[in-house]
Amino acid sequence: MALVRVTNIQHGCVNDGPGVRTTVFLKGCPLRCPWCCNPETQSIEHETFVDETKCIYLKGEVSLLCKECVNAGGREPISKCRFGVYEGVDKDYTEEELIKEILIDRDLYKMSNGGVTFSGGEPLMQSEALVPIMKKLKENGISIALESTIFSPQESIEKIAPFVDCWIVDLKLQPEMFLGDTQYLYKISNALGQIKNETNVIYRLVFVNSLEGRKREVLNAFKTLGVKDIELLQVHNLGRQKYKRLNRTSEDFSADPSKLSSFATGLQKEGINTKILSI
Amino acid sequence: MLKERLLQYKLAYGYWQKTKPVSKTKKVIDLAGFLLNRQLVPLKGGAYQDYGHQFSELMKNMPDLALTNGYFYPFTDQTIRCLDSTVLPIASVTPDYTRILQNSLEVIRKEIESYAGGEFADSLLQTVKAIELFIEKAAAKFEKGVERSVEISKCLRRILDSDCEHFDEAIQRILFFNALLWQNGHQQNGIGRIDLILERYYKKDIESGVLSREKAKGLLHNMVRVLGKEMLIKSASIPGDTGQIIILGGVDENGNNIENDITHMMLEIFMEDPVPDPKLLVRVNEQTSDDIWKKCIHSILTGCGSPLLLNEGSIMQGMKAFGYEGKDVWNFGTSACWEPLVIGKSFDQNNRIKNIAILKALEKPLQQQDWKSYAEFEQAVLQSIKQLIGSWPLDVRFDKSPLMTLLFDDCIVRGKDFCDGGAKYNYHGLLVVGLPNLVNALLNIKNYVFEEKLFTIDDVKIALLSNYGGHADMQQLFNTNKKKFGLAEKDVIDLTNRITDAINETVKGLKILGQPAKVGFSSPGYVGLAEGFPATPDGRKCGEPFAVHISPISSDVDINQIFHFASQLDYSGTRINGNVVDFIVPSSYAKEPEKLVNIIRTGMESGIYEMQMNVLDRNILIDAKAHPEKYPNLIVRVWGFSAYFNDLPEAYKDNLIARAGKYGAC
Repeated sequence: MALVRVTNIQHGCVNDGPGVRTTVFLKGCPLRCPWCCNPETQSIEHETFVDETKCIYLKGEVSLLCKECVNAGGREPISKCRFGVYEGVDKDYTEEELIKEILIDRDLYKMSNGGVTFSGGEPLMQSEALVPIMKKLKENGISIALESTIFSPQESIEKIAPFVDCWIVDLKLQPEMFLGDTQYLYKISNALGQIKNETNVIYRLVFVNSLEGRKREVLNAFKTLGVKDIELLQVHNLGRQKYKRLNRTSEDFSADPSKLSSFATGLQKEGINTKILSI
Repeated sequence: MLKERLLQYKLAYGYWQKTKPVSKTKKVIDLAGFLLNRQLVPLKGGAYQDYGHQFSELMKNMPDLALTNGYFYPFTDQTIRCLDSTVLPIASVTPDYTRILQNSLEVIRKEIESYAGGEFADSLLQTVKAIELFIEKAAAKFEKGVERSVEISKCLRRILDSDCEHFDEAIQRILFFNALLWQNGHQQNGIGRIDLILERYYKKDIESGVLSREKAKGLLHNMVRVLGKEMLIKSASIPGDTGQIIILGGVDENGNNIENDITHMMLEIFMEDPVPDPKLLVRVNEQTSDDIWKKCIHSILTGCGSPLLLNEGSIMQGMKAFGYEGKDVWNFGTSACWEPLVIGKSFDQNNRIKNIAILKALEKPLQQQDWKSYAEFEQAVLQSIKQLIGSWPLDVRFDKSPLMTLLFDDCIVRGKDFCDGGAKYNYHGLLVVGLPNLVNALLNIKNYVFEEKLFTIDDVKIALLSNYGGHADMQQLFNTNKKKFGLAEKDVIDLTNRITDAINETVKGLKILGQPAKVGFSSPGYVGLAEGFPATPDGRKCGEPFAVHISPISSDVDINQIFHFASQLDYSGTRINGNVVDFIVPSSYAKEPEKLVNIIRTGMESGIYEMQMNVLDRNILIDAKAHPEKYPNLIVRVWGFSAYFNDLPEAYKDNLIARAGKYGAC
């Protein structure tokens, strides 16, 4: 039985599709968006956070529990730390475990027309493992949403598409990613052709400051893809601590809300229904 | 006599003078000023008649008062009734205003004359007479005034000899008697089920064309303004803590859900003009409409903290099982904040006994070192809980009140004062504070002492004595244990229920003033009782506040988790005296009110007892603390009431900032 590698499960999410949802963040993503706020979801491999701010020894405190630790001059690796310095970021869930966790809130899904959202990372990277889980969830009457770039092999999308009620498509139309890239548009167009049959598609775009002045190119891309409604998300720096804990560097993506607002207005004037999502 | 008189004056000063001077000299000067500038009306004896005399004097010494927002509300801190220095004031009850709406003073007088006699009747008749004279005087003054004054004059005169007939008149009558309760030194006076009480008058006036919805809403809004006007004078320990609760929704005598124009209008008023006082409380059930739910959440999201939501099915079931009659529980209300009682029939003093800091039960077991197992340790803690509660001082004496006796059912027929067995229900309550902290402490001891064997009990004891000084490792582990209060896992829920079972078992055997006692796990004492309370094994340092009600202390427990948890707690037996899930709404939810409705509604339907929410932005709170002048209208929810953030003591501001920091980023 295939396991699903998950970094986090959040209940009561209100921004991840219709109604109130449980969002399952899966590990693995082929892209490396510079502003990614979930860096721990990029690699499919097991990873750990190392948070030295929790280190008792480095805080200048004395503890018999730390005397063998490498930080205190001993030989024990920090992976043995009891104080949370070293923490695994992911867990492999069996089908039963994941379904049980998702079904905790079935009454809430019913009340709110909500369900489960698979996000990440790129959930399509684990499409094979997701199929039996999604099947069971559908048998239980649970609505399924997928938050994805759909920048994935056709086969992955084919496997999943029959079970997904709502696609939240994260368009990578930033200059740092695929803005102006016709190959990207072609790939996404094909993918949309696979999923748009009677399913709900919500388009999202992370707004970064580099998009200022690039409205025309974005609009052209929207035209090609048939996008008439877009949800804009302000880029932010909330994930920077995670980069530190993964021993990785990150860029500063401090956002300028006035630029986002101006961009949104520009799109709106061109007939695109634009909604700014705030976290 | 003189000594008693001086004690009465001192007590009055202690309650009425809200800003206390810092130095002894200033205090003496302030006290002298208080005595010279106020008309103090002492109690001149202990006989029941003396209470009637006192009330009479009180009414005679009332200054001339003008209308307030179009209504006569005879409440002032210039004339003060002094209480017997050995008793507690009556607080946190709600008369059923239907009684005075449907019965004039003449009818009440006849009732006294038919049923009561002796000193009891004399005192009541003296009280009635005092009110009549007071009304005559006020009415005579107002009938010479402008149109509105003349209207009010007529409304007042009708109190003497006529049943109420109109909506505006009904509001005036309620406000009049409510003011008298405050004036007579009774505190935290609930308003009751306004949408139920006023419905017949509203319907009649709308149908006859003398009232429009818009005008009615304006009158209700004025009522709210009148009630909230003297918030500072009416507040108990903290500005905003007035106990002025307006209850909406819930079933009537026939089991039909009350939802009418008045229900909607009251919620709209609070959405449009959020105020910290009075407060709203909504009784929800399966019949509560989507519209009411949405209005409740929108009102909460304005930041005013109202309404508190009550799961009426759970509460009524619990009250019946406890001993309240099934035919009465439909009309339940609350003692000020959240403790259930029966409107018009309860003297229940649900929150007057000193609250119990339950962490005290750990003291003895932590002294012993030779525990063979966690099970043995926990048993000892449960036993200690029983001893702590079993020996809790319950002696208390209350004021007497011919006025309350007139306003509450049954008293006249029984021939007894409201506080002396006149009221049908006299089930008083205890409140426990720190339950989440105790659960976390036991989870820590179980894991780190008995399972992982990282520390001994003695290590824990020493660490607590040193306030975790030199034991940062232990404190960090205790604070970061994944097993926490609020986690909807069987072992955490079972432990919590074992603790409350022990409390319930003990309280069952207690009597307060000769009557069965109740207990609740929501308390206002989370800051006050924690000051000076030593460090505890949940990771809390000496003096740090206890947890608030049934709420998680960790940001790992989100709103859904705490709902699942709270819905599986046992609220049976004596455990009916308030069990509030208190939560800070994450900002993402505040932006999706429709979805928040679904979350809250599902939580209620799963079996939560009561719930209140705060909508807080930590950055704003920090800024408001530093620059109060920028946020004059910032309202927050404190233990069971709303208050202006600027009015709160620093410890409460810091507590809210800390809690907002934990939950605000979810």
